[in-house]
Amino acid sequence: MESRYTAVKNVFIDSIDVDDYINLESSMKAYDQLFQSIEKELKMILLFGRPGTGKSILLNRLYHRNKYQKDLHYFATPITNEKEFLSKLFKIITKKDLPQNTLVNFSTLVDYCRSIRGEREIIILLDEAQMYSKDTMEMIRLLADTRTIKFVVSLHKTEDEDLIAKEHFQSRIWEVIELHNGSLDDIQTYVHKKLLKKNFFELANMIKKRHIKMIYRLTKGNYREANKLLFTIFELYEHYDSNDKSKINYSKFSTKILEMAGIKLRYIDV
Amino acid sequence: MYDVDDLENRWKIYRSRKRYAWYIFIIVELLVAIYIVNISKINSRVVKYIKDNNLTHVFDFSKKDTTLMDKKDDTNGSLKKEKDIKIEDSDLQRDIDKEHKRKYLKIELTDKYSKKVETDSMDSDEDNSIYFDDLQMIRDIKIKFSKNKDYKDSLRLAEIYYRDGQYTESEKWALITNNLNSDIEEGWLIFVKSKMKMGDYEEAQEVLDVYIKKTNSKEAKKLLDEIKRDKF
Repeated sequence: MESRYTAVKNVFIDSIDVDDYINLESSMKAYDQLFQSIEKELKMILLFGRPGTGKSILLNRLYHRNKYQKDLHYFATPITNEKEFLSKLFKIITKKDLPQNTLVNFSTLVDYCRSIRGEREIIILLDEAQMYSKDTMEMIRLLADTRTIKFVVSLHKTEDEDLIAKEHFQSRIWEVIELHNGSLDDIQTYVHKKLLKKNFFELANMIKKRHIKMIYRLTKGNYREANKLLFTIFELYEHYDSNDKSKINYSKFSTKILEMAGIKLRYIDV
Repeated sequence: MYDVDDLENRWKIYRSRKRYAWYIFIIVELLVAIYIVNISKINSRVVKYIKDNNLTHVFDFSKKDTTLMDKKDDTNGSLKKEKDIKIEDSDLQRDIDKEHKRKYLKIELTDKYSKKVETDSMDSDEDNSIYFDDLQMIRDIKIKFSKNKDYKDSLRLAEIYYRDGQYTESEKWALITNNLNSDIEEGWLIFVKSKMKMGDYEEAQEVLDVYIKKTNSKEAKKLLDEIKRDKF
């Protein structure tokens, strides 16, 4: 028989599914800023932030909310093969499949983009852009210069990637949106809303401020880390529920299990 | 599923470490609280022990009042009163600061006192009554000093402050002492030691060199030797 905690655990599986999106004050602000940016006459928009700060889910939400209103395209996974990337761009720009055994002539593609300037306004959302090669980035830059295609580029914030951003985009990016880890209140809202969204009212009520403080302290407010921690917590709950019910107090959230999850994920050093 | 039993064991270790840290914190807090509550009792016992063992020559307990003071009033009151007592310090200090380098490097003999050094008066019977609190003692000595400007009082203050680790104050009072009677060797030595404690090694050695040249003091030589051998 499946434990009651299996479903709770699954709430915290890290995903960028738009249905899992949690409206937080900070993320709403970032969304509005991003939406306003794509409305502007910008060639490139850089979405910047450490892993787990919600860049992918923000792009995904932007895509799903506007895909029917705008000429919007989302590259969730980086296409590292240059030919494949050009072929996909070709399809987006010309709305035609590339004939088999044919290569895209990049300069012709750029010319074509120039020729349709003002007729179409294509927006391409590129997630995990740090994985694109230098040459591909250069192509993106040239395509953006035609002003027919607008790129929203999502990058992890690390020192090296700061350099990439500088090198490729600095002169062309007109807007940078930076995402940060959540505050204590953000994490509280995030955890509670996640549970409430799936109707785990009792559990949401059992997680008190002191537990949130500990979760925040261990994860430093990173949403991905918070998901990992809560997943592990409810995985332990699931284990006890199936094997030793005497070890769980069903009316109280266990600090012990929280700490055990912290130890398991090496947030706590023993 | 991973090894939950192992995880539980690791959690127990973590928990016990966390508890130990708390126990140690609580014990330290309790000890501090006990010390604060019983400070006067502890002091009186120490004093009694010193008296019983004839150690009064090592520690200098001064004067007058033999009654035990109420510890709360004493701690708060004496602190407050100490601040109130200014004993025209500022004027005195200003003059001293202005001339102090010239004074202590020249090791002048002041004419305010005779050359006879009254070292024994510090431990005189009259002054042997016991105080249980340095603050009270300091307050009384300062009051006395403000009236008489007696170098014995300023020297006592320098000694108390030095013993308590308040080196700025001990330096100041040693300087006042030297200014009033530059023949008091103890005043010079406390002055030098205070300087050393505050890290002013060069000036301390300079003063000591000049003093040794003037007086050929064995004690001063001994101190200089300790300083040079880094044993101070």
